Amino acid sequence: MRPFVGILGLGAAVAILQGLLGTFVPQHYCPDFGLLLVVGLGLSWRGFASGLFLSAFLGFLTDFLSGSLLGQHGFLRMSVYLASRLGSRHLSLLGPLPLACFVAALTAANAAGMAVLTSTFTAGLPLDGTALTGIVPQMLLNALFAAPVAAVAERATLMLSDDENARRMLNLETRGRTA
Amino acid sequence: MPEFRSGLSQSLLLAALVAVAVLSMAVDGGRETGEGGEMSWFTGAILDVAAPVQKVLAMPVDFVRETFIDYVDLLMVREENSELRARVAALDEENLQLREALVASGRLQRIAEMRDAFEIPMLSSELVGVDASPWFRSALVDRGQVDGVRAGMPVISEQGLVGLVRATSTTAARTMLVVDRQSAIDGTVQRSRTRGLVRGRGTDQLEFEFVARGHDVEVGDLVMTSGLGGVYPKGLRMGEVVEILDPGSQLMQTALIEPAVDFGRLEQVFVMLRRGPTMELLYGAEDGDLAVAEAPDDPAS
Repeated sequence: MRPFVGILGLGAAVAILQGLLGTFVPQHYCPDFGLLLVVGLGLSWRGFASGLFLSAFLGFLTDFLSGSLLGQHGFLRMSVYLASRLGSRHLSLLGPLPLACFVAALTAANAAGMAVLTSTFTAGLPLDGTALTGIVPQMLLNALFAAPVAAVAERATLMLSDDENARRMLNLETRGRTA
Repeated sequence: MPEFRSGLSQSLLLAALVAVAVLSMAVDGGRETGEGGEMSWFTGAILDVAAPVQKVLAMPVDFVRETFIDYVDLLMVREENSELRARVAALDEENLQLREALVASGRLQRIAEMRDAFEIPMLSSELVGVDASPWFRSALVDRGQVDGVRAGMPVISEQGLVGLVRATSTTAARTMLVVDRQSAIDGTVQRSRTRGLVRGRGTDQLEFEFVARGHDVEVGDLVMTSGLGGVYPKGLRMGEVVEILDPGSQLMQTALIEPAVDFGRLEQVFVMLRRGPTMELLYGAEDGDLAVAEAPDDPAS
């Protein structure tokens, strides 16, 4: 229960900080930390069901703080979680470069999904080529921040874990690094 | 058997969560054109928590940014000062001439009456956060229902039109910016009075779609709200034409507009505490009257 609540808190903090960051950095030049956190969950979270629920919750939280439709980010975050989970099992995502490429592809797929959902459920202009020009810096930034955020997600999961062995492993790893 | 059960429950959870997300989108999408505006208590509670937190976190960042901007501004102030003095002198002269002309034609009184008739109470408000998603352009402001803010009220800054309040919680309001892709405003070119539709592109520019060809719209023209959509009052500055796209064989011509408002440096905005007739119809007139009646004591004008 503790890791679940902890990640919920982390996700809420990330969503609020993302909104704050956008007031002084152009939005397309901010990494999508919410998406990266969900990717991190997909890679390191143990339980499938609880991870899926967390992803949906984090997505809905973003919807509340965004002009998007309620459920739009919820749906896409679940898709990102499923893709990350599948990716971690079937692809070799160890190391920053493979993970960066994977996240860049996920960012593009996420933008495409956003475009499809927006044009399906609203009467506004669909996200066309003009709007999607913002996708390139987003892909690059998300790729750049993928490894650190995934590491933070993994570490937070271990730190908050109810499993004493996992926490002990983290302590040993930290001591090894400082030594 | 337990594995099968576990797989089944996971599939059911996935299906349930997907169904909730899709249903939410369908309901929310339908509400875009129907009644609504006030958030559910849950959404409102989240915004009520997020807005003050963002406001507090933004304070140190704003302080550093303001100090830097003040320093840079100071460096340029002498040159700008002499330019402005010259401009003020020219404008004074022009103003005098115009006043003379207006008084001569007896229109000054009528214009003053008209201004009084259009005067709308405004509420000063601070922008505390922007959209949590890079694909939408909305902003969170620190005034909500307790301040008399209601969905459908226009939001402006001293530079021009900012957007429209889309939803409110007790102490915060979510504003759709004019650059959002769902924003479409009836606009008019100040010089030639050419009318058209100003749409958000999701980027830092707007596009202006109009039918007339020729020289009705030129680079440098100012585009204002026409007031015809029944959403925004007439005469709010939206931006300046920076490029006219080649229409090819199309009847509709498109120009790109640089918004009058610098959304990257937007801090203080004003909520106009009266909704246009279209918004009154959409959200209900009683709410709008209430909003004006409940306007707080410190309106900006």
